Amino acid sequence: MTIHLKTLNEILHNLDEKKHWGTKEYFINMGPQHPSTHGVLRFVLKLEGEIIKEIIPILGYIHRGIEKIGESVSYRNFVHLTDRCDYFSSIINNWAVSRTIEQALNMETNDRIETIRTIFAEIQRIQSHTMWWGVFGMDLGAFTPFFYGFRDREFLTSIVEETCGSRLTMNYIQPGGVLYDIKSNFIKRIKQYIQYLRPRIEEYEKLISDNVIVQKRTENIGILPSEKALSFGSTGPVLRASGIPLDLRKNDSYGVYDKVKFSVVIGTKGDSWDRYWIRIEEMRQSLNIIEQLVDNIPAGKHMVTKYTTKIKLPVGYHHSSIETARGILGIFVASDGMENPYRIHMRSPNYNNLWSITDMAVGLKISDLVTIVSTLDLIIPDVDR
Amino acid sequence: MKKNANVIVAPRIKPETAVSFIYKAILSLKGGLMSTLTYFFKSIFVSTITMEYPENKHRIKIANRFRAKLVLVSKNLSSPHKCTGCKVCEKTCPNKSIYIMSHKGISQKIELKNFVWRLDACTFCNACVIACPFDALTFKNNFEQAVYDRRLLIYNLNRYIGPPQSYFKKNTAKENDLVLLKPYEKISLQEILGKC
Amino acid sequence: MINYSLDNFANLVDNSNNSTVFEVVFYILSIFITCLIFISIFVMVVVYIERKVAAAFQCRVGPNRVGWKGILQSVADLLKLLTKEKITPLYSDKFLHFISPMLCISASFMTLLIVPFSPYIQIINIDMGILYWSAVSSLGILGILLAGWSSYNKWSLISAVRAASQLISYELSIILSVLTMIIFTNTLNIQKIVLSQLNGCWIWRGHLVTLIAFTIFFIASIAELNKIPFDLPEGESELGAGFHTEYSGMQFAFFFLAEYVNLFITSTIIVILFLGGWLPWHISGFSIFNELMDSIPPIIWLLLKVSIIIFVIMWIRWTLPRLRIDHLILLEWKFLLPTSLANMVLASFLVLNNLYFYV
Repeated sequence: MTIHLKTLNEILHNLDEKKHWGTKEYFINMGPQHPSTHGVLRFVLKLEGEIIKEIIPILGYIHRGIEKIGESVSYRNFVHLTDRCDYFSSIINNWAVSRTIEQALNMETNDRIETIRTIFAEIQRIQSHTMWWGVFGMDLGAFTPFFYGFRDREFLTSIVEETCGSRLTMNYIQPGGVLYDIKSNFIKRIKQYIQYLRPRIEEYEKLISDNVIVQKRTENIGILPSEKALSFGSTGPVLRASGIPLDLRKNDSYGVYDKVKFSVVIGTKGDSWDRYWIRIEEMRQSLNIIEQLVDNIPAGKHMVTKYTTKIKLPVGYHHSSIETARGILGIFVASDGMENPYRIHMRSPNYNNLWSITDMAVGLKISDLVTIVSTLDLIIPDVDR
Repeated sequence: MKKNANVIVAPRIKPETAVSFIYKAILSLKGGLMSTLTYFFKSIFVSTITMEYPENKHRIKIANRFRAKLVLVSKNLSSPHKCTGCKVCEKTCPNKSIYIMSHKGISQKIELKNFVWRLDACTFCNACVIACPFDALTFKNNFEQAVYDRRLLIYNLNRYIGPPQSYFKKNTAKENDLVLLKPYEKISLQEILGKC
Repeated sequence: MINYSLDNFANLVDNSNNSTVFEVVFYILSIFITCLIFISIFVMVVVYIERKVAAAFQCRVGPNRVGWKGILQSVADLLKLLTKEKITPLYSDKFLHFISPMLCISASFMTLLIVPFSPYIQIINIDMGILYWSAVSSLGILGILLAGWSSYNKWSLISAVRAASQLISYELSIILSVLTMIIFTNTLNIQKIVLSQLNGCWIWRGHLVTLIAFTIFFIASIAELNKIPFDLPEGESELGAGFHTEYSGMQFAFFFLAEYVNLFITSTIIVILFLGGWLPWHISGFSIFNELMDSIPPIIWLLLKVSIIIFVIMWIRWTLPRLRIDHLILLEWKFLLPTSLANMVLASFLVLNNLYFYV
């Protein structure tokens, strides 16, 4: 099925003269600076009272030209730019580029590298989801979950800082391996953290999930049926909430995901409650994955190729994708055999997830819009790149 | 979907009758209130999670690998470093944050004259450290780098101008030449800014 | 004003009914200055406590730089607000924009007149004190509505309209709960309401009925104070700042002050109607204990009980999320209002048949 997205000009041209000057419908700008559009996202809302009739996202306020910069840096140096797109789980973005390059060059990495990469990807997923939970509570009005979510993220950040050397933009997973080998007390600290987080997730449930106010505000709000979800191209928890079990960690396994046991979490109806519950359960699944992997990291080198060897992809198109915390991040490289890519494009998950709001939010109130944007878990720098 | 994959389906909220709804609602609110009350008493009587900077500067432990300031590896500031002026790091840097000025020095080979590193442009990606063939660079973890003027963020990393450590390892007889070396040469701001 | 009974203020004004102009003016000025001093000190303390309590709930420290442990933080905030530039939007309704913070603050000031801090410390004891309180506190709603309307700002308008619908709905529940208690106490005079609880507080003397009235009054008063979970008019995650977006400097300080004074007043009314006001805690039989409790001055008792209620309101504020506007209105008109009406009928049944404790 096709979806017709209207632009602002179209709406303004189609306005009926009499209807526009009535007192019922009005345009309001939920501007780039707003407490609950996560980043600089601008919505133009056409409201009737409090009910949304039409919603138009306007993007581009944080466009930094990452893909254009990619044409003038080498492949290895492009990896650190992807850190800055989805910065709450930056290691996973690095893996997307590394996977593309390794697949194009037929580079084989050893088991230790893949295990370390999987562990760190799951750590970043948990970090992203705890912070998302905190921000979700804050958007709904409860200001304390924000601090609890940040506190739990902070413990992991210090563990990651010890090994990777940085707290937000790690540049850790490189084509050919990982930047540093893990530190000696990494395993001990991760095990402590797993024991720490499991009861915390129960607390999260008690504070927000069981709360009747949250249940009433998220149930049947922002329903995205599965055909519409597929035609918008949404991925990640947004698509899984509509009932389609697409998870790249199972469908197109990379790393050591095919050797661990975990479940894919799906929803039934596609409303905000499903999207919320899926992420809470994904945190538990990530903890299971880490627990299975952290004791048996095989021995080996942490970097298969030398860092200074020049990477030149063969001429043609290369593509690969990774399941990030928010959806499928795809890297598409058009190479002409030189050191720098000819064109490199990132298919960002947040871009497609964002546009599904033009369909979901119609007929709901402003408070529901805030809830929906929060459950979509958008990172605007990833939308704009 | 692979055959042995498990799928967990999100539960729906069960619809309740009026009286049980009120009862469950009050219980849920009470559960949330109790959990924050425990944190309230923990904050007052035990501890908060705030790290009170700058009072905790002595106790604070930053990871060794934390990337905060680029330094040249040397025993102290006036002893030889390992950099030979080969400019590999300048080529590897994605951001052009490094500028190497080299000259033909006492050892009749290319030597480092000035190693200019721009903290205001650096992305701390660690490429220069790993790319250096002589392991001459490293990141230190002192994160207090804030200054009041932006021009102070352009650093000249070397205070020693002369042959690198590898030179002294090979030709031990020429160690007396250390006496003739200039300890530090001032470089004008124009020269640095003109290059950047 | 002079004709009401002034027997609570014997040392300020003499009991004869012939008062000179000088005494009248002195009396008005003393009220005014007392109100100002009280409000400024009290609000600064409560703001500081709110920030520290919020920080404790959130596992952090709160203000601790300005002064010892941060107690001068409110002074610094007050000085900042005093010296800020007053910005008025260009196309706003100038007169309404100017007057709405004053409406809010004068509504809060005027309700301070009847608060009984102790049997001897009360500015005026009107014979219909409770009615005066409920009438005057409704002026604040007008202030909020005009503030949102007169700023030339669609978001403020949305918040003002939400505020209007929320506040006038919850007024009803408040009035009905108050009336329920009046059925028990049989008088509108505030001091007499407190004195009627000498044998025990109404919250357990009237068992089920007053307990329900207490719950309804508590929930409705959180809605009246615009606190989370009913803080849609000032929806910080949705609207930025709501009806007081376009106000800066002293005008914003007025809204802020009015909110905290309202908090204090509403908690005081809860304490007076349900928890015994300034009466000390007695256990029948333990005369030594009773004498010990009696020796603590009654103003301390009132402030202690009020601070417990304020803590509970803050606790709820920092834990629960916000209700949506239609849930809010539904809660009032479909749950609280019928319950309070039925409660009132039940209360009259109880009183007529003397079915409560300590008749």
